[in-house]
Amino acid sequence: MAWGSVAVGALSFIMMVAGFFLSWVPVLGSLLSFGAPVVSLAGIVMGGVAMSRAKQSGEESGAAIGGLIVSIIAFFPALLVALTCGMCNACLTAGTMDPSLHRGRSPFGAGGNPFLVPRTAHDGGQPSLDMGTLPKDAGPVGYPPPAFPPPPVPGSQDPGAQQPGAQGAGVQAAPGPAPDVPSPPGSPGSAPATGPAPPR
Amino acid sequence: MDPVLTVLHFGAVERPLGGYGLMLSLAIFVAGASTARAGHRAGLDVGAVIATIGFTAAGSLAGATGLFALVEWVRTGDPLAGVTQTGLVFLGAPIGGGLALYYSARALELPVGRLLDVAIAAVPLGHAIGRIGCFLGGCCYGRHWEGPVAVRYTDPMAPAAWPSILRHPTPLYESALLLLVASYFLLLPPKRVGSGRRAILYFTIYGFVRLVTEHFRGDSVRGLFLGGHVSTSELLSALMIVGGLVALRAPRFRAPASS
Repeated sequence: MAWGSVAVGALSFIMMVAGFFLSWVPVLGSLLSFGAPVVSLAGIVMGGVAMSRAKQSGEESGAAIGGLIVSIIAFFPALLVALTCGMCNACLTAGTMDPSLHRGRSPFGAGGNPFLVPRTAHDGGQPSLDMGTLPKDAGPVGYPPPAFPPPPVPGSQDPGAQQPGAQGAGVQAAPGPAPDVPSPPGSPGSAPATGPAPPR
Repeated sequence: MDPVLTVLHFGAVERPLGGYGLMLSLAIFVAGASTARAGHRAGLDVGAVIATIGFTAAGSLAGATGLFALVEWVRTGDPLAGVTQTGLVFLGAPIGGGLALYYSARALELPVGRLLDVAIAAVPLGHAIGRIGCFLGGCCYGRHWEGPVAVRYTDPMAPAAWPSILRHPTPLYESALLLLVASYFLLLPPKRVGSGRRAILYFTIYGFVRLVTEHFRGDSVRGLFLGGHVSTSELLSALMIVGGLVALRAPRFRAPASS
């Protein structure tokens, strides 16, 4: 197990470096970036267990300590990579996986939890995150109207309303905001509102 | 306030170094190192303590991610919403980490209550550092306020910049309170070690800390339950306080254990 922890620590280090440089590849970048800290945690566990066993049996614990050190050294840059490159990759991946297509599988039924308040533009609520530009002197801008109003009434004709980049099937894009107001997430011309959500 | 501290250059490759990721890594390192040190000073098997820290860190990350996914599922009605978006809910960490700690410590023949009691100060210490990361990243932000220590985020990467208004520096409030709590547990020597009483006391105190700081929060994720008046964190904090106060009155945690 001692040498195993060395190997696992080295593997996590390789995954971290690969995740760092391949973060632009959807899915693979996420797997490498988020997998590296998990693998290094496994190395830390293996190293700790090997160290404990070596102490109990009176054996040499040099390899166990080595594996532990390699895994610990790999863990912290791996976590950093996961929280930067991995998050970026998650944005890329999220752009290809539209959760709104899978609505209706909630334990609360098709409408979701009736006690909850919509939060993001995705839900028809206020925006949460955008990668657009914000003027340095921007004052309170208020919240724009929902970016995703209800689907058009069947039979109505509005060929210009359906945007190729809009999320969800059959949604109608909202008119763009005034030129002096920053573009809200999910609105036409801005990044999709499926980026990394903040911790709470 | 800039969520990206600097941009690292490796030849043609450029990668941002985020303040949140850096502080979270530092928080885990400090919490892990102080736990290992406390375990060593208490005469526990250091190797087993380190292995338990690894399990607990993995369980904490899994718990925080899992609770985020669950909240997103319940909130949006979409089981994939928590998968396609990445995020953490802190209160999932003690749930996942606690379970991982309990089972791994038992498997490694470590006294769970004693380990928790001697190392509990590591939790608020790491959490306080992590909250500084929240402040740098512009998440977990405060509500609108124009007082003397109000902050304003202008970087579009910061969630607090939408809208870009003066706000309470709520993560710093919580960080300061957590440092006070950590100081209390670090400086005051435990009278009763081994039962887990100090750990329960910490989580009860944290429930109060969280309830206080929730009042200043301004994220759009507040006020989810009971007609929009109670957030998930307030609900869990109230449960922690009630559960903690009940547990602290239990004979098991009142009776002195080994000292």
